[in-house]
Amino acid sequence: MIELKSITKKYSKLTAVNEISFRVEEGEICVLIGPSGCGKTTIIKMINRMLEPTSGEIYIQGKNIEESKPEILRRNIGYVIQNIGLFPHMTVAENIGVVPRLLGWSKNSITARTEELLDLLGLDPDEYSDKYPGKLSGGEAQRIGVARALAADPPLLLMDEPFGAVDPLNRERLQIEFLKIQRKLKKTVIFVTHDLDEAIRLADTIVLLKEGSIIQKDTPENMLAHPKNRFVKNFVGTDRALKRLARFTVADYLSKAEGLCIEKNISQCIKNKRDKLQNRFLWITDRQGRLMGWLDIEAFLAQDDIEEALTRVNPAEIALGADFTLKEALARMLSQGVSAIPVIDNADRLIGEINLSTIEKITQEGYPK
Amino acid sequence: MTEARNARVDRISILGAIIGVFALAAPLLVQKANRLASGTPHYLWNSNSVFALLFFGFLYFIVFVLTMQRGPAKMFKQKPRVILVGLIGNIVLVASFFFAGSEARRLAAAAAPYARFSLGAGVWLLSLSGYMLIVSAQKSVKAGSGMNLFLSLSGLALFIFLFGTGAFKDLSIMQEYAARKERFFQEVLQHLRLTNIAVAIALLLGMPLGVWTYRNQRLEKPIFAIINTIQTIPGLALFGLLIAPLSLLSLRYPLIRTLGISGIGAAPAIIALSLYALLPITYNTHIGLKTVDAAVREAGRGMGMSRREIFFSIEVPLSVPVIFNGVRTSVVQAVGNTAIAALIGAGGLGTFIFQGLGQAAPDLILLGALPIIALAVIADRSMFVLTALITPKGLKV
Amino acid sequence: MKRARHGNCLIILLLLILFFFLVFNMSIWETALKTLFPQEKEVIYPRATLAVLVGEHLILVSVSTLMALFTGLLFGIFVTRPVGRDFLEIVNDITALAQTFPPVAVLALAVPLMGFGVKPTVGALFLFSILPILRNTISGLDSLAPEVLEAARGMGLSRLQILLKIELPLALPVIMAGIRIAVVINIGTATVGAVVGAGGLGAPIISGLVRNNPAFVLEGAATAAFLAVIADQLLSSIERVMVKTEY
Repeated sequence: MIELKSITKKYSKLTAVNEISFRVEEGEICVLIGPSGCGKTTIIKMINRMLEPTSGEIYIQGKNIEESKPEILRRNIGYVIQNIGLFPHMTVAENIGVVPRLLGWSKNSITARTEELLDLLGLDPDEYSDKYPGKLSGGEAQRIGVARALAADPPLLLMDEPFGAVDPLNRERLQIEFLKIQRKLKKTVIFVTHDLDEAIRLADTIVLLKEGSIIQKDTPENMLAHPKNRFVKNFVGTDRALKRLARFTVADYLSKAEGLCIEKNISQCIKNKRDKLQNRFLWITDRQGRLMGWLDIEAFLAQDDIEEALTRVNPAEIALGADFTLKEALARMLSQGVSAIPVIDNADRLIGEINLSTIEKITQEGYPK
Repeated sequence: MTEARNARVDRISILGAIIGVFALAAPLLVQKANRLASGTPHYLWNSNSVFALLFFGFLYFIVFVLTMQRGPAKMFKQKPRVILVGLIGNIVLVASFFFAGSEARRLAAAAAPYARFSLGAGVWLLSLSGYMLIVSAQKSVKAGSGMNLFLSLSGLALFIFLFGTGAFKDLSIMQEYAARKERFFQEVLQHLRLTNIAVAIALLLGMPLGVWTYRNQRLEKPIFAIINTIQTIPGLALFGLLIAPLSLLSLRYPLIRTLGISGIGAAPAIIALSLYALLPITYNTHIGLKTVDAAVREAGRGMGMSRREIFFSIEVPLSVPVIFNGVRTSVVQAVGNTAIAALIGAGGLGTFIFQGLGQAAPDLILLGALPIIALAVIADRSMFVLTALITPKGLKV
Repeated sequence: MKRARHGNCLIILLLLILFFFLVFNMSIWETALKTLFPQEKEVIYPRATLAVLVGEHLILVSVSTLMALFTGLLFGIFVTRPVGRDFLEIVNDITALAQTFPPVAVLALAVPLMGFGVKPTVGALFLFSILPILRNTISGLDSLAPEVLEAARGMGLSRLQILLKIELPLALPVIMAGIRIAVVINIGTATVGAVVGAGGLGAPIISGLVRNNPAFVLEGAATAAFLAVIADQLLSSIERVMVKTEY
């Protein structure tokens, strides 16, 4: 989709970007990361020709970007910056409509597109269309910034620390929303950040830069598991195995859960399965398969009183959804002092469990001997 | 600040009303045996028009009641209270002159034929009081709204109406006016003409200059050094400095003289006035553009707007309020500086001031000075309203 | 930066020397004005030497500015104290309004009240120059970082100590800017003061205009312009030094 061929950018004496080449495939999120001054922002500004490289070529969909006028090129590339830069004298709708208007869309299609985008970003068009940016919260403004970049449906999106100025809680929410939208839209995204957690959460590929050169380009999993050198190792940190867990979701490592319906003849079932049961505990569900709690098998066998042995729980508090990351699962296990956590679907139905041993195994992959 | 935005009768109106009450004890008129003699004061309370005293007393009583946050005033909402105070301000402003005028007429009937009645401190204090009431009310009313306009203009309209009916004609300043009615209007027109031409020239030069210095960082320092220096030169001195070269030019080149350009008159006046008006316009254009958020500009560029598009649909609308503020300063300054232009024979209302000073005739001085102050205040207010109207909606907090 | 500041001081010093040289050397004026205006018999204002005129001018300006400084500081400090806070807005509004009054009109209005001569001129200059000083005092005192004041209070400084040792020194550059604006306006308005008989550098200009003698006009105008520019430069460089030593 986009290819950089030995791009160099020099400012008199300083070399900001040095002989950089990489490709980003269609629909991929490529995150450029590195310490400040590593040239990451310079790189994306050369992609939409806000800056011109000293040497080298950039191809988008096989076409050298120097063949089109910078303005025309930029209208087909979404661009989001940290300070957003919403136009304060235009309403939200007018802000979103800027590029479509430049491209000469009809009024009706601009309005329709604006509403579609606001919906996509979870903002009510009726409420937000006529608001001025001065009245928006930081998170809302950032969403409008993304909507504005998506307005003309550009295949390529450049994002320069788009969530950098938002507080951590909102940042995480924005990241998750962005991933959700990206799954739908399948844009090619080049994303600049200095926040490693953000890179790990979002990236298909991470490009780690230092002083204008690429140090390592890899998937987040590989980069965390196999840092190429000391610099990368220091950059990803000693807790890289833990960070790496954020790349895996519970859904991928679900084990079959031993669950019993409370309606069944429980004592009979347990006796039948006795030899196969490795755990002391058994998940108990209701007739619809919804998680109710767990049963202490020993206690139950000793007294044969189900109410005594059953611990009833609120599923939302104890169980995880399939889209949680393993990092979150581990945190939950550690805080609750358990080695297995039930996993439920949207309707609270038990769909499996996640075990500490599984997580340990993945962690070990991250520290090869 | 949030407090100020809430409609509320505030302390300015209280202070205004207090000043007004004291003004009732100050001389309303000063009677003089002739144009240049010194005079004897006439007070409101020993005049026959006890009605006037009661009238003002009643108005200020209402203002005091309205400012109370407790008691009988509670029946009214805050907004109508504020508007009522503004209305009373307008009435006080006009009434002070009206009563002075009618009192002068009454006294004139009995006095010697050359007697003069000039306005006393009471009238000035009452109009200050009225003005403060209006200002206090206007702060709580949206700028540029109809009500705001009504509060600023109703008194003026009434004043002009009374003026037309001859209610003030026995006041000495009006006798000065009556003696040179045609001349007065000519000079008002000339004053406006000089001011407007100068500001127009300054706009034509200053705005491009502001854009230029913004685009070209290297020019910023030298150009502003020059314009700043011009601004520091005393007005009279600048006029004087232009006399010499222009008179030399017109002596040397008859063609220039036939164009009406010489050392004195309108030409040096307009040149000096527009040079003066240059700084606020240029500076504010420059600063207005410069303070446009860099992120906004980058976003515009990143979205594929051309330089032209960025300039006209982002930079200009965003800096318009700042630029207009500069124009406002320029206009108000120019109105004042034009007064000095009379000294080099350019005409305008300054003519009366300097004639008055020359003849030691206080009323003639007033005939020049008061309209100049009025023009400056009107220019200031109307530019304020215009700025509010033209400011993009999203920029108003 | 440092070199630039020194350069600036040097330029101002040179300008000052040049100014005094010109003020005290009437022969230079005579030759220059004679060549420019050969048709005039008399090219130097006869009633007073330039040095006297400059002296008169400076007295008008400094007396009125000092009075205004005293008044403006006092009012400015008063309305930024808890006792006077209530009046802050009124004072702000009145100064904003009064700022629109043209100085010449104020000077003219002073004459019916105070007669002719030095008195109305100083009065008008005083009234008018209160405005920038008061405004800058208020904005200087009002825009201080609240943390600084809180720290000072936390360290046990009394209110007076906070005012004298923290607030006023920090606000000084802003106040200084107000003084500069006041001085420049006053130098300008004082030239018009000659019309009401206050003397100063306006006298030769007015006299030249009345007698149709451009040489007199130029003598007064050039000196007044030079004086204003020097005062502005001098005060603004003091201002800059203050800003730099502060932060």
